[in-house]
Amino acid sequence: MTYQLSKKDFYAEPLTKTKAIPEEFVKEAYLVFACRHKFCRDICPNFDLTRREAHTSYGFHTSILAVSRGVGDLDRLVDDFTYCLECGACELRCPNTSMGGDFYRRSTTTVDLVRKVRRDHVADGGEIRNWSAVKDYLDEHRGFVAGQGELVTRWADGIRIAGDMRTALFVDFFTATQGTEVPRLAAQILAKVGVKFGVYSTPGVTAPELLSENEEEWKQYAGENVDAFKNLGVQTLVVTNPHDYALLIREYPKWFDMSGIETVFVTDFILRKLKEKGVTPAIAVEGEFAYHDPCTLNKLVVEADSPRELIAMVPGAEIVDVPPGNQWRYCCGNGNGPYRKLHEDVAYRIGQKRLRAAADLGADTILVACPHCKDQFTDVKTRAGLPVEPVHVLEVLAKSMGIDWQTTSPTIG
Amino acid sequence: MAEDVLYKYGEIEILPTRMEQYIRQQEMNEGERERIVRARNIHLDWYHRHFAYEILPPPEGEWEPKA
Repeated sequence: MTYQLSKKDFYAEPLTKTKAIPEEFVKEAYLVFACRHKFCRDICPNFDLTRREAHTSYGFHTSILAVSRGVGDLDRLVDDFTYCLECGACELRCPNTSMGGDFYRRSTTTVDLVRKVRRDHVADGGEIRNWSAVKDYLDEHRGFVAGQGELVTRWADGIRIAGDMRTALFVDFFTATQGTEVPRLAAQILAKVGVKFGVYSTPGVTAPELLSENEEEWKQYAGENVDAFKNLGVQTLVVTNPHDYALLIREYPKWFDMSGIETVFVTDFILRKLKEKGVTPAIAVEGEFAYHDPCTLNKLVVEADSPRELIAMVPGAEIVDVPPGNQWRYCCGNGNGPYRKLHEDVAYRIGQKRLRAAADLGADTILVACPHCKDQFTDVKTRAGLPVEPVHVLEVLAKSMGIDWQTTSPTIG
Repeated sequence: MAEDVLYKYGEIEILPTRMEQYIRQQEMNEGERERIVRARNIHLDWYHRHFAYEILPPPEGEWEPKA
């Protein structure tokens, strides 16, 4: 898929207490502050529950403006910057993006902004409430790096993999340790379709949380990945976790030359291969399904079709679909960064609202294309007692293709 | 049409020289431009589905703005 480069150079200048905020950054804040539409507020899944305008794109930019004019203090305002799911809905609904971004080549980049403010605040010696939970998660992943070659392929026990790295499955630490069903299902579906592939086993710490703590460290892992892709002769990178996919499509091109490497999300790749090989899932899978768009595909990358097309190929699957545009205001509650670790209660309520919306449609199953959504919905379903089962799209597809898949692969790590 | 625009890939775009004094352009490639256009179309479809019971066709023939 096409890489998407959107970069503001003035974000590279760190925010510190001792230096004035650069004027270019202040003008950026004015561009959103000057807007009275506040579409960013109405589309935000977090604002939907907290009802705090300071938690919106409008609020973030206004806070920067307040600090720049000496009427606000980042030590007191930084907590607001943690109430961002990094889903990107506000960026898309901002008229600066949607009605003029392509014409002026200047758009609203709230996700980049909140990540920058958090990491600059931490680097400047500031504190963020509950940040230790994020640090623990990142430290756990940093600890995986030493043995990553074995760890990242352990999910594949019992599955024969050809090892042809021209097509490489990108499996990150979260998917390799907690969401192992996704690569297992993907590998078995691809094998059934006759695709030869290898597994890229040294991803480093790719969690988007790291961009909110230490951008240079994230860039180091990403740079090593790009070098390794080229040394291994990777031509097509098939990404199992949409959080990584969004980073590869949107963040890597900011700093690295990705030419010669095609990055594809796993559902897009499987759909393409099914069509190329003329394979049609034949076994009926009964159920009343709703589909939940992951924020990464639907809002950050804006490519939301392939999971729906895969479900449509499964005979018997009744889907009560909510179009992608209507789902911009939804999130599972996990967010595309540290949100759930910082605000577990609000995250739970966001997820509960989304699951309830699926139940109200009469669905008994909510299909997802993201292991983080599945993790969050599984937790929410259990706590809220809602009768909607979260299931990965690939699981339904595998069933329909008669694949003897295993969802009980052990949690590793 | 004002003369201060570029035509690129069938779309209009402001002349970069007009974005140098106050608000500067950011680095943006075609993939990002296409993403913005896709998102705009998704939003306009949503808007039409919810708030329009009819979509008016453009005027036929040569159209002149009213004086």
